[in-house]
Amino acid sequence: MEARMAASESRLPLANIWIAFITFALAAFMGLYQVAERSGLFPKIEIIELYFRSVSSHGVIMGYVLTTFFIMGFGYWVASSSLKIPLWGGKKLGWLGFLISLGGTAMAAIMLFTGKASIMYTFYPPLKANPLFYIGAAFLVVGSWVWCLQMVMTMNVWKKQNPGVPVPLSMYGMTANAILWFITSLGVSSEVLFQLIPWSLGWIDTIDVGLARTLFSWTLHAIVYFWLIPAYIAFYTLVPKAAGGKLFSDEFSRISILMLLVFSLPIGMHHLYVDPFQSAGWKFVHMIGTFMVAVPTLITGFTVIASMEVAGRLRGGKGLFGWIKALNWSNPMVLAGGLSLLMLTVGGWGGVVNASYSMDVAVHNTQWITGHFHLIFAGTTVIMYFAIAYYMWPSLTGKPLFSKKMALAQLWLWFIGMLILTLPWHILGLIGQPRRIGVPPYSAEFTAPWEPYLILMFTGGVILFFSALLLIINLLFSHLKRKSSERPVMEYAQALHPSLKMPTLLNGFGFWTAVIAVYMVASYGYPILQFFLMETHGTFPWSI
Amino acid sequence: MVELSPEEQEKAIAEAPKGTWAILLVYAVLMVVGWLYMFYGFFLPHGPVQ
Repeated sequence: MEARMAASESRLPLANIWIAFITFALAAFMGLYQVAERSGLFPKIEIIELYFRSVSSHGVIMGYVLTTFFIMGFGYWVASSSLKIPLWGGKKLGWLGFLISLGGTAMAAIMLFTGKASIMYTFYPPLKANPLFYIGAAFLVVGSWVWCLQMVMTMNVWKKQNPGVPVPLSMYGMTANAILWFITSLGVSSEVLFQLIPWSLGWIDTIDVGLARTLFSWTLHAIVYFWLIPAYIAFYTLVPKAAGGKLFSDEFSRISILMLLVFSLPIGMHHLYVDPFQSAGWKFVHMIGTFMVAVPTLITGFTVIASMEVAGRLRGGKGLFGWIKALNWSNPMVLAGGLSLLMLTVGGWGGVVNASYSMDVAVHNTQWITGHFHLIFAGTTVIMYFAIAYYMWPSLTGKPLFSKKMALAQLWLWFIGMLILTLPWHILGLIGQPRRIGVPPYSAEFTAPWEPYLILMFTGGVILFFSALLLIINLLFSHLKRKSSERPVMEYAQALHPSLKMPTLLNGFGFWTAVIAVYMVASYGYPILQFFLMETHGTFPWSI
Repeated sequence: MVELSPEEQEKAIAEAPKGTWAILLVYAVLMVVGWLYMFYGFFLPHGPVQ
């Protein structure tokens, strides 16, 4: 499938992606401050209030702002380049969504930067922020719902115009992600709208913490797949193309996306394993669901590695592993794909440990958890965002990438820095360091074994910051180049055995949305309803 | 990069992904061993939370 992007089509995705990376640069600087503060090497910067202000800003920006804007920008690029029809609702609607999200982000950012929302990024009462932070966050989400609507409707329009033809895989995955995000964001949106905003405005005096955490768990895990699916789309459709091969199986890829969509939603209670307000039975149900997610992850691993194997063999690679050496590792997309899979391997192992109901107790709320989610999100996922940006940049800006060598160095540094940062965090968790701490108020004897790992953590953080700078420099210098070039043809990998006709269930979402609705009611219905039925000992249900 | 003949290309595409199976097998073994190590080597010896 080939197309060139017109300049007028590129502005909306470009604006979204620039917001993502400008805020990313800010958050990367905060990350550098945080590892310096925690390392114990710089006592003068050990300011607890500043540390938690920074941690909250870093988490909100990386988890919600970088991701949401990047995914929206990537989604508009995919819709335009794969379907080649106008966006449903028009570009103006897309800009409206962008401005709503941007306004909300600015509102939340002011509260974060001024220390009025130092509540981490988990929306867990009784930590309370200024109401403007919650209102801003709500606008960010509402703006992204406009994007969700445009993705779903544009795909539907295309399907009507092309009856019986398989939806391009990249758009199929993006639409799945839009549906996933809309459903999963309903949890935190309900919490913010009906609990946190009235509480922070003083309209209600108390808050039902159990209900709040349950609603947030609705969002908290599936959001990871909202972040991850764009990386999977790149794995399926861009990595094989960049490697000079073909996608091993289009059908396998769709099955994996659908399994992620269905299985990743009703499993968030594994974040509540040690919380008292849900019973062990419900937590066990969610644990089983959590392990089910390993299946599409393994299918993805197989499909992507097999696609790379085909590419390596087409480049003359022989033997069981000779194709790995034959791959074009000097291509940023191929390199990022390989490094991302390696980080997924290690992070996936850590995830299986966290997900195990009994064993989670050993690592719960320790630095292990921080190491795990940084490896999966900041490592596996974000390194693919970088590669996607490098891939899209010439088609979005009409200018060639400033430096491919710099891009390759940046990806390697990100990988090395992330391992040096997160592997010591896993060990720190195992030897008892809690997460969410600035300067630990413990005895020197207890914290002495942490010290070598804290130095490693600081080293990793410095490398990551340097890598982040390289990314911004490369993208900025590319964009500012005076000389324009013809926008490159945007290409996606073709399947090894292309399907002319796709089973209906693998070419739409109607049936699967119904399955999700039933699954969500089954796994979250009573756990939420109980808060309205249980004895509240004199207070009104839901604290109203 | 080696230039393959059309016949060699067809063969490369038709070949089963043996390398992929091998990698996934190694990964599956490492995952199981890693989980067992954490359970029997760390979690159980650690005992109740102090």
